Amino acid sequence: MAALFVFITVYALDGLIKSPASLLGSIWNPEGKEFGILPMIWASAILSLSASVIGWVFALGCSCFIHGYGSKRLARILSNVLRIMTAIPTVVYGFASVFLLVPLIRNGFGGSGFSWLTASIVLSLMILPTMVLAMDSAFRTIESETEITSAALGLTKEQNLALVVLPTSKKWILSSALLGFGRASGDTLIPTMLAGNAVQYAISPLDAMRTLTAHIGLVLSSDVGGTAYYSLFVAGGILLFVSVTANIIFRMIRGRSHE
Amino acid sequence: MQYCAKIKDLSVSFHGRKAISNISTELPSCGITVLLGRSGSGKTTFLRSLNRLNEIIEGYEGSGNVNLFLGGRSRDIYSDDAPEPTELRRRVGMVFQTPNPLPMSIRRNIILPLSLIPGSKKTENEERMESVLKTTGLWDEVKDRLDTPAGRLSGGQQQRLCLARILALEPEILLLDEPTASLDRRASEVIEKHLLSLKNKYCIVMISHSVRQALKLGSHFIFLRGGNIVASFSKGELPEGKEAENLFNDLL
Repeated sequence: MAALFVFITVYALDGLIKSPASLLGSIWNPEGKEFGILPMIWASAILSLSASVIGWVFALGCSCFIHGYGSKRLARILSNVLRIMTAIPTVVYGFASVFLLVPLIRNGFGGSGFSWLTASIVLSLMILPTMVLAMDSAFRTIESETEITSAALGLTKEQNLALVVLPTSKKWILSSALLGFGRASGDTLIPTMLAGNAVQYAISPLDAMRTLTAHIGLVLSSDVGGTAYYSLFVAGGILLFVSVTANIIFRMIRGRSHE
Repeated sequence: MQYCAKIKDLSVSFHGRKAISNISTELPSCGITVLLGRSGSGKTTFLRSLNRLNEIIEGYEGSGNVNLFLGGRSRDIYSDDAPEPTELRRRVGMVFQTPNPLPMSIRRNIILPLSLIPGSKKTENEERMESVLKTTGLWDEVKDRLDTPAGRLSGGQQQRLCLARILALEPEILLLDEPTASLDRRASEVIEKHLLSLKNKYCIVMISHSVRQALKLGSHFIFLRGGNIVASFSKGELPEGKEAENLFNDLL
């Protein structure tokens, strides 16, 4: 792990020192010796942010449904479906979406259908179970500690969830958003297959975009060398930095909530 | 004698296993009724059937009648005419074996259940909080740190907070499930003192693990074994001094 960290950092810094202007530009044109990755950084940032926001909102909804607002039977079904979802390979999500979601977006909103929106939806679906399971374990622990007490004080199950369980698990709910963000920013297959891969600053949800992860995958599978490779190390370095930072914050929040 | 509860043919089972069977008895409205018996004899299940708390446990099945004297009249709490379980549990308050403050501040532990009563007012709730904290002797100890987490109080203080929390709801019947079992002797004595001061105001039903405590606090005694009542006495029927203790030990 340490070796990986050092390796990526050294090469990324090397690249940045040798040709900072080219690497931190906005244009990707290997033939013209332009290797700007800024649009990819932008794409990665907004895609992981939008996917984790959508996923987080639904995860919170699912968790509340499982712990009180839904009927017991439906709650069990939802819980099982989410568990099964964790076992589905990413490529299946991507593949199915190309045939199901992409035409829907294309016909409904216009454009090619390969867009920020498409990738956001599928990515949020992919990180949903992770976030629900994280919230679920917190809810379950607190609920088991407070259920009888609350009932004996005249609280309904729903009131216990809203007034006792949710406020108590605030830190866990927030940290699960980070967990989702970490996973979303690192995913490669979904943006490669569904976001369109155009190197541009995506503004509209229907714009195509190329994320850092997709960029690494695409460049590695085609023949370019030299500075193009340096750009990959910079891209990898940024991803590593983001995921490590997200992980550290996640642990800090969790650590504090244990006190 | 006046009764606060009349129980007829009460049976409760969990996942098909009988916890109590065909219990019929009457609980006097004044003084403390103490339930005694070994663990597994059905004391807690019996107590929890008086505020319908067994129902939230999975696998519950029950039959029989429990008539409680609430709001000036007798009502079968398992019939259609019964108050909602949430309302019933406010009127039949319960304190548990282990202190169980909710994971929030001292103030909110008392105010939250109060604020859910339809028509409750914020200023009245605050006044009631102060009054019950004084009743349980906690006010001077916590008045400067009402907004700190309740979990930081000592075990004895937490249990007095739980008692205060339930008193704030102004119940008519108090159920106490071994309220001093997890406390040291000094903290137990403080709780016992408060219970004695409350016994003329409320109908109190209490489980006790200690014969000595039962004799000190109780005015009516019910012995359970294997989910059935095996004996019951009122204080007047007991022999004097050590003999009563020996009789109780024999029955356990």
